[in-house]
Amino acid sequence: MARALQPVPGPPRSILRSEAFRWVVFAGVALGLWEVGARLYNSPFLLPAPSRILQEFLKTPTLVLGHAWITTQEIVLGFLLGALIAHLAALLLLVLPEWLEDFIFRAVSTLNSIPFVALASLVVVWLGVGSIGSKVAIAALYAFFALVYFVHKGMVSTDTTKEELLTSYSANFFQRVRYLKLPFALPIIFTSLKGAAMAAVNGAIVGELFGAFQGLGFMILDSRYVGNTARVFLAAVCCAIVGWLLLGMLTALERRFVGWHLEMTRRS
Amino acid sequence: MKKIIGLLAAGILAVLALGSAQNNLTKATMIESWFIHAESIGDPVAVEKGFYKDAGLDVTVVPGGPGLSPIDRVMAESKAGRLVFGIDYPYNLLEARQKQKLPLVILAADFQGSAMHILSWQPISKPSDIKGTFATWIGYDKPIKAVIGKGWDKQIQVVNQQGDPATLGGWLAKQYPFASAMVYNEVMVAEKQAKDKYYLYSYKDFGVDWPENVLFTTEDVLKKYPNEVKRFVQARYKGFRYALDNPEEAGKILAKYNPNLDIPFELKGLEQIKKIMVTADTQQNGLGYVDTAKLQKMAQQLQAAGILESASLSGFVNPVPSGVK
Amino acid sequence: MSSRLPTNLVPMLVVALVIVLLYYPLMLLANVPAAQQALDTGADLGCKTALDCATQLRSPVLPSPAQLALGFRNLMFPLDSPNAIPLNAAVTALETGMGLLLAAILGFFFAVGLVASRAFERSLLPWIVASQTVPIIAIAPMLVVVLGQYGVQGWIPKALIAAYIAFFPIAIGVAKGLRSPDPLSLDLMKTYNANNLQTYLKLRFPASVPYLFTAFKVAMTAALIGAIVAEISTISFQGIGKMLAENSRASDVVAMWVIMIASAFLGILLVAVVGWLEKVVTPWKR
Repeated sequence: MARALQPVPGPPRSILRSEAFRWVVFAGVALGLWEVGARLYNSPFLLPAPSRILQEFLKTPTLVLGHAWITTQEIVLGFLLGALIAHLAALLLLVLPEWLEDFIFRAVSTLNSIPFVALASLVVVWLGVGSIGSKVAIAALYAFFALVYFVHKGMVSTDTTKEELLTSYSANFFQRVRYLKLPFALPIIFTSLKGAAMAAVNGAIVGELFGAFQGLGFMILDSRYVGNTARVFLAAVCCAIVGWLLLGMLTALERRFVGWHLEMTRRS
Repeated sequence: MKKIIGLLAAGILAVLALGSAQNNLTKATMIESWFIHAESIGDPVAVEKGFYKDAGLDVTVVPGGPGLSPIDRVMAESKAGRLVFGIDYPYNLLEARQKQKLPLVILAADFQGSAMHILSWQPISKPSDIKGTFATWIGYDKPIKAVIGKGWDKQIQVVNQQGDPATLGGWLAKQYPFASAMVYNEVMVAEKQAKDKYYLYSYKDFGVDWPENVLFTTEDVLKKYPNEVKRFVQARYKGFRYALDNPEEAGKILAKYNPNLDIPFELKGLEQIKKIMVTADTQQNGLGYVDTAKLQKMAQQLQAAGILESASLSGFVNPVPSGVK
Repeated sequence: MSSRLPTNLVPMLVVALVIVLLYYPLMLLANVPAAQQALDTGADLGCKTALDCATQLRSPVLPSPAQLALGFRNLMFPLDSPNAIPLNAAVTALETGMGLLLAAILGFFFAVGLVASRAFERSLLPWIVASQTVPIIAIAPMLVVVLGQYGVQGWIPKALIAAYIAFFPIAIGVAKGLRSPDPLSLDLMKTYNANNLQTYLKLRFPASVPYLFTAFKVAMTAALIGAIVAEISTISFQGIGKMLAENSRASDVVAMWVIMIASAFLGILLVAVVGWLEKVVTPWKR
């Protein structure tokens, strides 16, 4: 198992190069279509062209980057917090007696079905208007619920024969997690971490819609109010870029830790 | 090492001295009804030009935003025994006072007339021409209801403009015929974006002529801080006067409080604001003049439209003259 | 299943009872300081002690059960009123359900594509991943107006936004499920000389069902949140989100709580429907 965790020596260079190339092509095609579409549609208050959005950025680049930086902090902190709690919760669920595990899992899924946007304006009042605490909390909440199901599922659905093997080795709980459950769940964890990153982006923005005076969510609202749609899109683009960076990092980590699995699924 | 300790001690002393100097000022909070834009310009200017400080006040200007009711926030601060002021529309305050029994009191009025107008794709000659979907911000739908009167719900469907792209996008895309528009914001957006001929009406054209953006506080604050309230009002309108006289400089101050703003756009808005802030009444009685007769008429019209149960203003209006002409 | 039900039900009920019992003292604990402060400033609350006032504050930290009950009565009736919860909740449920359905169909086919073809994954996955990081709240208002220009109005744009949010968890979940059969079973299919379609029908699809329903449950909540956010942040005439937006401006804290609890029930109900479907579709589980 430990050997399987080693990165697969392969031709990473050429893959990386072609991967980057594909993204450039993707970005070029998307931006080109958007520019043409926006010009044809000719309602800049509904669909501004990328060139206009770029102009908007060049007007106040440091300010926009400042807003983006604040939101990035909220996203990253919220993501880390949510992911940490989700993993702790999944581990906790493993050691609890079955009826309690079942009950807590039900409680979590019930909580998950509460639309927390409804809470957002109240959370802001509790955690303070203008602070980033409430936004981090909401981003963490979004990330947590995007993860906890899948981590739990990944941890419990290990093969019974392998479980029995470890029992015959008289492995303790931590060994069980370290050598069987975690490696087995890792591919699922990485996939859902990506989902959680996107959820954290959305959570931070939802948080900023209530009681924020800085950050991309605030920029969206305040620019919408004065009819500056290009700036709204600029904020959305910034969010997307932050999201991509986060996803890129997670993908790199995924390659590092579960490259073997990616290879296997591709071959099958 | 000793030097460092000496420096530190000097630093701490300096901070303490500064702290005690500021302690002579009474802390106050000014809660705006929206993010900081041109309509709030008097407050940042009064802070930055030291008008509040001269009045013995250390004022924190707090922006509003969606989901943040100035009434709630003023009530919370007031319950905690602090000196607090807010900005909202008089009808929302009167409604909260009558229905929720909140001890809200009007001190002054920024806008003598309505900044809110009606944008329409078709000409309106009488209130019964207003039929169909009418977009307005939640909480700002009472003037149109008063224009139509009882039975408004059979004539119009009010939709929340807060969800509108570009603040007017739905109207500009002709998804509904009518939208309410602030003269310092949406009206300017329409000028820029509308491709076809449209019509602009004032609520005054239909007999609804109410003050807007009124400064309010609570009865508790008035009782506890009578002198500070007076000094606050005077300093605040000094700030507005200064901003109206020196728009360029005020614009720079505004940009400090909300860097996201397009300052030329805001200053254009300020010109419109000037028209409803400076009137014959205020030239005589000072900026922020409260026309009680207008408020009384407002209460009667709201009662007639079935929005309020009583037209009584008892205890609601406590004008504090600013003396700033 | 019938043998499991009581073991779930008993602790559920116990905890529910504990929560109900704890709520009252917790509510008092939260509200008494606020009430005391209000009394100290000499406000006339119509009650004498802080303890009395704690249950009747106008903007309570936690509303008292009586306030909640009153709030529910005010917001639930008349049942067919456009301003009451039932009709608005129904609209939101419709948007969520249709959104989930659409997301399920698209997500399913997308997942099959991902698993079946490397070229498909390479060419489409970047687009999908990239699109998912765009905050829908920012784009939703424009989207609704643009769609409206082409006659797509009412609940449909909100359902589309819900679908957009629910799509990704479903696609990923199904793809995981389709890949879940172990290599041994896949080899077995090969020894049976099964073709690709048969492998999908007999092995991959059945194997993906548990993943599918887990994904559905997550996606259902995501879709509900998407629908509510869409209602809050766009022009809307009906729905829970519209009620929330209105009442948050009217600063009615009790109403906010009531709507929140109602939307929680809606969420639980919708997830329960998925759970019920799961039991019907996979009777062999549990």
